[in-house]
Amino acid sequence: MIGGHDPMAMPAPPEIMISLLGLTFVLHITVLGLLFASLWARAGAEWGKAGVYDSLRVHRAGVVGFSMTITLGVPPLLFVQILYGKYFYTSSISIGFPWLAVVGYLLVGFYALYWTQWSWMRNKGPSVSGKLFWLIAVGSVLAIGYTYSWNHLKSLSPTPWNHGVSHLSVVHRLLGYFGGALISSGAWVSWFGKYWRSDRAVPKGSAWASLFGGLCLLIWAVTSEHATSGAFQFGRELLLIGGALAIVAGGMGIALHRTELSRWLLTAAAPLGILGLLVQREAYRLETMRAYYDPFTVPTRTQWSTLIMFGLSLVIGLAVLIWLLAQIRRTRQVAKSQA
Amino acid sequence: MHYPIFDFGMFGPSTLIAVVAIIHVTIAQFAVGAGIATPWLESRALRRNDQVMLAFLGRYARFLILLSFVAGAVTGVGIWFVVGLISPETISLLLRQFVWGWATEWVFFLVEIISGYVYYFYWGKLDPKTHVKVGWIYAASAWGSLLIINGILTFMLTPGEWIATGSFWDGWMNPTAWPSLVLRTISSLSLAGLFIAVVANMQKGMSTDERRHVINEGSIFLVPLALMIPVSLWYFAVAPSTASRLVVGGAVAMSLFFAFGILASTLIGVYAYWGLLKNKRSVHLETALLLTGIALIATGSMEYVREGIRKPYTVYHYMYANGLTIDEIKSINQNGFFASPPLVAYDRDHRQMTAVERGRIIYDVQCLRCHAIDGYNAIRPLVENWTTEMIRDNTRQLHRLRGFMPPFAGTAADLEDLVAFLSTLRTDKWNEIHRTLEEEEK
Repeated sequence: MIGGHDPMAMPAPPEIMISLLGLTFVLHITVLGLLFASLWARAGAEWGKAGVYDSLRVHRAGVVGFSMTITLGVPPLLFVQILYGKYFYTSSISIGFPWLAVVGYLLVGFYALYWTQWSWMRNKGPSVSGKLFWLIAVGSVLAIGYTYSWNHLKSLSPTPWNHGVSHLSVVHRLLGYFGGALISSGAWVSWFGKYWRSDRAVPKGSAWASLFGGLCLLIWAVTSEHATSGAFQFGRELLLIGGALAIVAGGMGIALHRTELSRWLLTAAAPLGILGLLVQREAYRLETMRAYYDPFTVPTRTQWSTLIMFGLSLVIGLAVLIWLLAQIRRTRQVAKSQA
Repeated sequence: MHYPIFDFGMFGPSTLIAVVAIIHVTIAQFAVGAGIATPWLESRALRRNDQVMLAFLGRYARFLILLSFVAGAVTGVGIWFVVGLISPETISLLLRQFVWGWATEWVFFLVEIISGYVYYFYWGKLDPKTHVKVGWIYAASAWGSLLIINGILTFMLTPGEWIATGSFWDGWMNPTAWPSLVLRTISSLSLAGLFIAVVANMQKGMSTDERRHVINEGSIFLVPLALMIPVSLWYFAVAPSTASRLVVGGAVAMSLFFAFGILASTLIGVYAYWGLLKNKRSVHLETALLLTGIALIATGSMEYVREGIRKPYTVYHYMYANGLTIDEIKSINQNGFFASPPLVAYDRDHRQMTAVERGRIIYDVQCLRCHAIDGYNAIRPLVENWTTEMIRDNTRQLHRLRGFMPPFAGTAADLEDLVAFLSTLRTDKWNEIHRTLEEEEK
């Protein structure tokens, strides 16, 4: 039904493409955790008793996290188009306007999140407008996640784009990613706690996020599609371990107040959970699509010179980022010693 | 042929692409220009101990971040989204051919974003020398991002040797890449200069003299606009002659948009030199917004021209605007449109369809990406008063009649199918007129 291979050859071996897709996807979901942290910290401030100090710090990081999530979301989108372009475009077209609406959700979500902080500062506390903008931001983030999952499920075979994908299956899939991002958000906040609040190193919200995220991840791991071999099974094992660690970390933070151990458990749970999601997703996609499309059989013409250019730019870019971090650190040390 | 066709309805796909692209280009070019302007003005202000300018630049950096870091990034991805729906063949070609270019551009963008945040959040905290360095890192990465994207965009008009070699470098370092890079850099700087005037006027707590000072200092970035005419001549000198001809009368709308874009830009440049730099005049908020509005329309006009002169191709001499390549058209002309059925007709036997049904499929594949049935750039107003013979003759020779239209792809039978469908678009009123005329002739 879907036509033959793309007339352009694959620009690098699929192993490289899949690795890059995986690496950038993990970074994307990790930073998404920062955005999640900002959202629940702000909910605590608007509706609960969370301190202004906590929520504003996390919130400011969340605004940066939102734009970084967008920036780090670009390369996975690029590599997906290279690897699975025909299916990705076809499912995008079959969704049509809701797919285009993602652009609007992103804009509305970011500025609503920014406005929430602005509203807090102007009103010096919770306000109706703050709550309203928070809801808009949360709605936008959920809508983005839903649309992406919808498109992903539709792109998995040549039939769903024509016959539809059940909305329940989209929500079900979102559960796993929601859990992963939530655990990541807990890890972020636990480190913020150590950095900014030496008196109580793991804020309570972090432990609850971890607990709830771990549960979501476990439910997803147990109830998702039941391919039981190879990489798919390995992905599920990672999910189970990540989810269990997150629940233990959350329990320790809430009941036992073992903050240091809880933080490290969370720090291990987040990458394991996200890696599990990634391995499971790619294994399931390759397995489901193999009958009619296999990226490993597509003609490849590796563009070595430009691949090297990219590698060099990445090394130089990382060096520049390290230099920037060093400057920040030096500035903080100078400020501390002067204080 | 290999994708479903997305019907945008009465708005037409070109409207959506134009809106997203113009917003993105404006914001992205502002980010580049402001990236260069800010550290340059900062180091100058530090040398002169110009506290007014330093205080202003902190606020200007905030404006830059709020506008460009999200809206710029999202609309950039938005272009992928829109083009992916309208012309997946084109975006697939651009991504596969230039994937490592896009990836390198992303590295530049990542450095741009992080250095931009450090520049803004550590204003007054980093030592001044380091802070200016961070600003220059931002500027270099923003301009580097432009450098790469510009090569890919200009490739679409002048793919150069790529047609024969398929090499990244042949496609990226194409004939129009360098003049276009200069044009975009000038445009970026001018947007930065104009937004300095806007932001200075929106700042509370600045005296009139302080505003004038900031605006006069920032106006230096508007002066390069005076170079728009010679650099545009360079651009058109290396562009395909068929494309250049569209601007000098081949397509009236294109000529007018180009003339407006180039004249408005030049006049703003001349005004900046005489009014703001030489005579040290100031501009009020209304005037600043007016000048910025004119610059935005000029940017939009030039983007329209850039897109327009490429017609009927999306990649010159390789792929037409309807996604069909030159080779595919040859094959369809030889074997017939339905010899390799398009995806939109995958589950239907074309032999069982009526001519009108087959014609609609041909229309969807070959025309719908630019022409809605009704609405913007619609087909109905074009054909509603044509006789069947006129529809047939015009469609058969479309590319000769209108140089910016792709040729019809198909056999004589396919043409008849399309004619049958297009004939159904005539309104009752015109059918009545045609009947009357035919009766009178008899």
